Amino acid sequence: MLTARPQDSPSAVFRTGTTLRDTPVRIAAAYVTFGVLWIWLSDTALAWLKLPGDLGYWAATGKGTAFVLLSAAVVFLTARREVRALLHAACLLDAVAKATTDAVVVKDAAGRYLFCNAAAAQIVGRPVAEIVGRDQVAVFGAAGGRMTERDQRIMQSGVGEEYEEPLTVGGRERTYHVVKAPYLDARGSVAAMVGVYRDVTERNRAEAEVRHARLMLRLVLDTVPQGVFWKDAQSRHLGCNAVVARALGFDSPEQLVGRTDAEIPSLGPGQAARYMRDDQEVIRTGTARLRGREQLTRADGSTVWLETHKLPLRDDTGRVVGVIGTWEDVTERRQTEEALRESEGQFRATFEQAAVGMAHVGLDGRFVRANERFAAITGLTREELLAATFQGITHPDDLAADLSLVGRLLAGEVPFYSLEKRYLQKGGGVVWVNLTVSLRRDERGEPIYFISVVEDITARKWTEAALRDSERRFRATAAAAPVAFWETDPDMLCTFLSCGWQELTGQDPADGLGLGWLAMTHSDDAAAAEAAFRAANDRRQAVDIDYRVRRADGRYAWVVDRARPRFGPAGEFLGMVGAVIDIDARKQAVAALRASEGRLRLFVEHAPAALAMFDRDMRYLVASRRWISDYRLQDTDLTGRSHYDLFPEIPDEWRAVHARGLAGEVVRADRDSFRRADGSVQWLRWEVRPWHDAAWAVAGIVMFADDITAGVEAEAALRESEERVRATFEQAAVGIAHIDPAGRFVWVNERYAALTGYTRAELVAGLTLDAVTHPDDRPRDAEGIARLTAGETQAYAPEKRFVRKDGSLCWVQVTVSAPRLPDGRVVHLIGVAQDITDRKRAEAALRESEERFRNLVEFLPDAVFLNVGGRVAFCNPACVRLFGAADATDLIGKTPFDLHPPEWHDILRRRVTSQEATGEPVPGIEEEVLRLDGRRVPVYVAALPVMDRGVRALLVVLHDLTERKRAEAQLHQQELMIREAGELAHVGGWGFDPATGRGDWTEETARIHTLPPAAEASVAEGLSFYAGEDRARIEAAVAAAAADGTPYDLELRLTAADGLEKWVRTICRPIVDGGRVVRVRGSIQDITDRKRTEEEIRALNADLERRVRDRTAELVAANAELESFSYSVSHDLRSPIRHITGFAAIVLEACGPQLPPENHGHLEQVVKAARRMGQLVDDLLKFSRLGRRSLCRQAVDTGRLVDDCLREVLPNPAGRRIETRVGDLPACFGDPGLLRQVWINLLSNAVKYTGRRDPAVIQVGATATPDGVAYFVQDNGAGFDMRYAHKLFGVFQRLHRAEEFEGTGIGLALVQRIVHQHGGRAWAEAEPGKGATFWFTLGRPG
Amino acid sequence: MTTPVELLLAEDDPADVALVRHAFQKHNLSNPIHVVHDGAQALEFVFRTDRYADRPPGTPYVILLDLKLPLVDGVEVLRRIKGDPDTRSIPVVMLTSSGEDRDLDECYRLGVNSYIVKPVDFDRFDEVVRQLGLYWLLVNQPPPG
Repeated sequence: MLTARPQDSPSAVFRTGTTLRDTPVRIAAAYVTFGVLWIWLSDTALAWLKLPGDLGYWAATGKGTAFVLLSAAVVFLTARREVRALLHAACLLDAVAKATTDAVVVKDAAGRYLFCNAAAAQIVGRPVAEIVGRDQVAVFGAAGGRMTERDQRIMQSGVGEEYEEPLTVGGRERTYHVVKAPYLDARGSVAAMVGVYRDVTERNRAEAEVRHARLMLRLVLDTVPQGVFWKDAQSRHLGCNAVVARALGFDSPEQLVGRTDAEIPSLGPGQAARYMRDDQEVIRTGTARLRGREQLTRADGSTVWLETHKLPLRDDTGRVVGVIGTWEDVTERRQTEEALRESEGQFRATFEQAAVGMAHVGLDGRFVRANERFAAITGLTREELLAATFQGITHPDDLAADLSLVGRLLAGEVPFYSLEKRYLQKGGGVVWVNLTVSLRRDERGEPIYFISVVEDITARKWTEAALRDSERRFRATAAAAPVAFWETDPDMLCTFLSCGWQELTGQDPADGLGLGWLAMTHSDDAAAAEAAFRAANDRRQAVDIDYRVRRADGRYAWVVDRARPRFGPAGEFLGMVGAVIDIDARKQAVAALRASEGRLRLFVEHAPAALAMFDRDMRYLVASRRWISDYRLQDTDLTGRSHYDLFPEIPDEWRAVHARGLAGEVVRADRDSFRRADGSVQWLRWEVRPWHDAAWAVAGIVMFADDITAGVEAEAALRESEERVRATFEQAAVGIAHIDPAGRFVWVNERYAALTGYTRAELVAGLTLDAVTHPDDRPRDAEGIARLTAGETQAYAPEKRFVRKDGSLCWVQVTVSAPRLPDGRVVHLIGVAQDITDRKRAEAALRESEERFRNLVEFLPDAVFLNVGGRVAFCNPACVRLFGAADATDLIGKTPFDLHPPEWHDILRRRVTSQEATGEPVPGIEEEVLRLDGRRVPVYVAALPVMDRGVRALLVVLHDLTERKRAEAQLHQQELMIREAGELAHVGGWGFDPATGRGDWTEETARIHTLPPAAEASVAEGLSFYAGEDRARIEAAVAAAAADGTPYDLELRLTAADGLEKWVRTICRPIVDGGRVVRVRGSIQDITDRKRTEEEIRALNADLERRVRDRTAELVAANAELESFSYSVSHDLRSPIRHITGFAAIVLEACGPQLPPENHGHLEQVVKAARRMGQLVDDLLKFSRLGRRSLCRQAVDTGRLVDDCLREVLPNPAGRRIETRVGDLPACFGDPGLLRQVWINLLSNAVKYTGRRDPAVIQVGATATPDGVAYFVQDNGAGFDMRYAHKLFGVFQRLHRAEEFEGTGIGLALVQRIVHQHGGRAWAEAEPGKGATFWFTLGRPG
Repeated sequence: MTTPVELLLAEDDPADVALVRHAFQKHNLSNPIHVVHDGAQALEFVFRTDRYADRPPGTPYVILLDLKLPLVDGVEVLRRIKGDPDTRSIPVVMLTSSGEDRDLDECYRLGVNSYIVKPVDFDRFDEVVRQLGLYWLLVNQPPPG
């Protein structure tokens, strides 16, 4: 209102002013109007009245007076109203000015304050009275001039101004909004100026704050990812953030302001309407609304999913004035969720609706989760299934296989397995399933559960089985009855013939097409068949036609051809189809059956035997005439009658037989008696057998009975007589046979059969005499029998051989005779055979023996002669040789005295006498005989009295002892030698005969036993010198030696005859001949001295061993101690070092900067020293461990090893110049790890001690030495004084100060130790300042 | 799983304890450390018996075990912890001065998770403790419990 310009202000003040400006006019107008009206009205009235004269005169005068009075009154009233209005306006203005909180001042053109209200006075800081009427300078001092200047400008231009002006009021800086307007007087010229000051300090601050807040809000709004918007109650957008603006296709949020959703181009009408509906809903209900997910197509065409949240927007009074909304882009979240839900849904659906059973099975076999299908397969409800285990519902026969696979699955051997197995269903059924099981594992690979998928394959299994059955059936069917299929066109021309046609007819199906098949039909049937087909074809009817076709084998076969019409989809006739089925077999069978039946009936009826056929109820079907006559049934109609009705007398056992027949058995009897009802006895041969119907069921029985009564009686008589005769022969002790002229056996008795080894039945079954005769005897037999038959001889009685059935021979004495019939004919021969095998055998044995003995004598190396009557009657070749004769004739006729030297003659004579007296054999003696050449020969003689051709004779055997005598002489010599040797070696000999236990021993043996020398000894005597355990051992050994020739070698204690105990060694070598121990021989040796020495040695050894054991134990203890020492060192010595370095480092770290440099250095020294100590401990440990480690030798490529080591020890190439020269390095055999240590130590030493050389030269090489290859490392470094070389390899020995070269003094000690372990040695050569060479060898391999 | 004690240090040498603590502090590993001074105490702590019967349940994230401990030695403690199905999954780190092969073999045979030979050099010790703490407390996920 203060900004309104003065010209068009509607205020009352100015309006009154304008009216006031017109006041004189209004008074003048009122006066004139009244005057004119008065004159016109009064004149008119006077004229109308037409007053007479005087009266008229008076009237005119009065009218003028009245006019003056009345006009004065009008002017007065008008003026007073105007003035009042003016006063009212002035008062109002004044009140307004005073009432307003704004400061109002009015200045005139001269700058004097015409008006000033209280607020203005407050600003100025003076009372109103002091302001009004004074000019600016008077009020404000010199500063007021400027104000005047602005005011003057306003007054001159007549244009108001508006501005803000800072003023200090009451000591406070305030800002005022100033409006100044010129005050125009009634003439329109500027009369004064009005100023209104309003304090806007607070407002400005508030506005700034609001602006700031807005800015922040905007920033926030534009930064949040959510969209934010707000609308008024008419859903008109009041604002939004950048997200919303962008989404809706605007560049800035401002563009959206004022639009409704319907006016946003990017929103579809439906969408906009929905949003606005939501807005109105929120506004109407005053509650927040969350619209779940909805799609928004953004201005750029992309689609996003939003989650919108709308809240009512309320003003201060709580009235809902609009709606504020946020949205969030949940596209991504939604996509993830969608994907998840989709996937989960798919899986759930898969699981639930799968056509296969699926289940999760715990590791214990319990079902954890299963789908409906799984439950259905197992026949359980899901709840029941979840309470079961797979082991419990698996068929017991399949469980083992399943469990074994589960085991393999759990072991990780297979990723899954499949198995066809059976589940036991709840109802007791069995269901076949194909089971596939995999294993779910967690991320650590631990099994969680099994995933089982089962498929019900019961149907398949059934189908498989059924298929197999069916296939088998069809195969059988096809094989049994070939069927051919065919097809014709509407003109009855064949268009297809299956291969069955070829099988049936042998005709190629291609040739049968058209009417070609007719060629295969029987000429008699062809026309009829064709006509029948034609008729069926024309009438389009099914027909079965029988005709004959020529089969592949040329024969004709009956077939039935089943022809059926076939029609197309529209009902049009397409032709015929049909199948040709071979029914020939059937036809023939029917024909055969029919024929057979007739024949059978005929046969039965006319059979010569009594024959009847019954059904299962034993009713007659048919009976032969003989049956009818035999059973006297001529007058009976048999048909339908029961056998038992006709013959009630049939005994129960026969009825039982019939029952057996009806049960399928064939029962027969060769001879059976049947007592008829009339008392007569009938002998019957009968048979009952079942007959079968087409299905091979027993349909009844056939009974056959033969009346053999007459035969039986005659036979009985004959048999009796025959029996008697037969028995005579049968029981004869000689073999008797009837043989027909062809040589065939007709009858034989038991004995004959026994001689030939065949049974009687076998013999009479066609065997001939020749067959049992030795081939050598056959010609003689043939001749003998021929002569007999011819009547030339009466009997033929040879000794001959039977060849028995088992191939053995049997000597028989045979007598063959040929009884003749009265007409002289020989019907058969009678042979009588007697076993002479034993006799023959004895003869043969005798002959053989004679032969054998003759040979024996001939070839006997001993001389044999026969002394008959004191003269040599026979002599063998050996005898001829012995006596040096030319041949036997030289000796025959000589007397024993001719053959012995004279000194033997007396003895000879006595012997002959005594021998002749007693007839006893002469025991063998040694004597001498005289050869023909006069030489004497020692012999051993034995004589035996024999009978020679009935004369007593003496068989004399002479054994030439020349060789033996020589051997004995040698033996004696040897024995002497052996005895001497035995005596020298204290070895005695002994021997005994295991049969008698008697034996002998040598003198030495006796001496060992301290017995007088005696050759004779017994086992018992020998054993008696042993006692206790030794006795048992020797007895057992001797027994074994005697029994089965086991040799022995024992060392035993023996108590000699003089009571002294000795150690002896006795060795036994039994002599075995022909599997029998013939002699046990052995030696015995006095080993007492040796034993004593041994004992001493043993004692010594034991002592030594004990001492070694003790020492070893000490060593082991020392070793263990050492080990535990080094273990402690490694532990306990390192800890304090670590603490020293640790805490020193902490101190350095914490107070390093504050420490004086000197102390800082000290601490560093502490750390350094401790580190060095640690290094020393480590090296020392390494050194001590070396002693405990065993070598692991193998071939080592030294060259490569040195290359590796060099690479390791050589410093950074940029650092120093080091020249290395590596010579040829032979491979060696050693522990690669330890050798590496050696090379590292030597090479690093070389690098270290050449630290001050430039260039450093390190040479590595090897030379052959008598101790094997010597390797060396040579450097041109610091070297050392050879006087201290002996210290070089000692532990902790250093030849250089630590400041010069660092080190622990263990490296070379290690080298030496390793080299020593390898069996080599290490040494060094050096000169101070000229370098050093370190050598080592590794000993000779092996 | 939350547990007031995340690291159990079984170490009889107070100096080593101090060094471990120092190293942990230095590397801003603020996980609570509980120190036991002998093997028996370590077992009581782990199995919540005797002196630790009232300890709130929960197992430490990691156990640092000195090999040579009074009363029950470190190998035995390891054997007992790895032999019990409830505690088998607690990572155990052998922290020892010894580099002896036989100790190493035995500890690995018993299923130790890590075996660290305390280096003599403090800087390296420091580094080892730092890596150890970082690895077992920050990187290694405790078993679900």
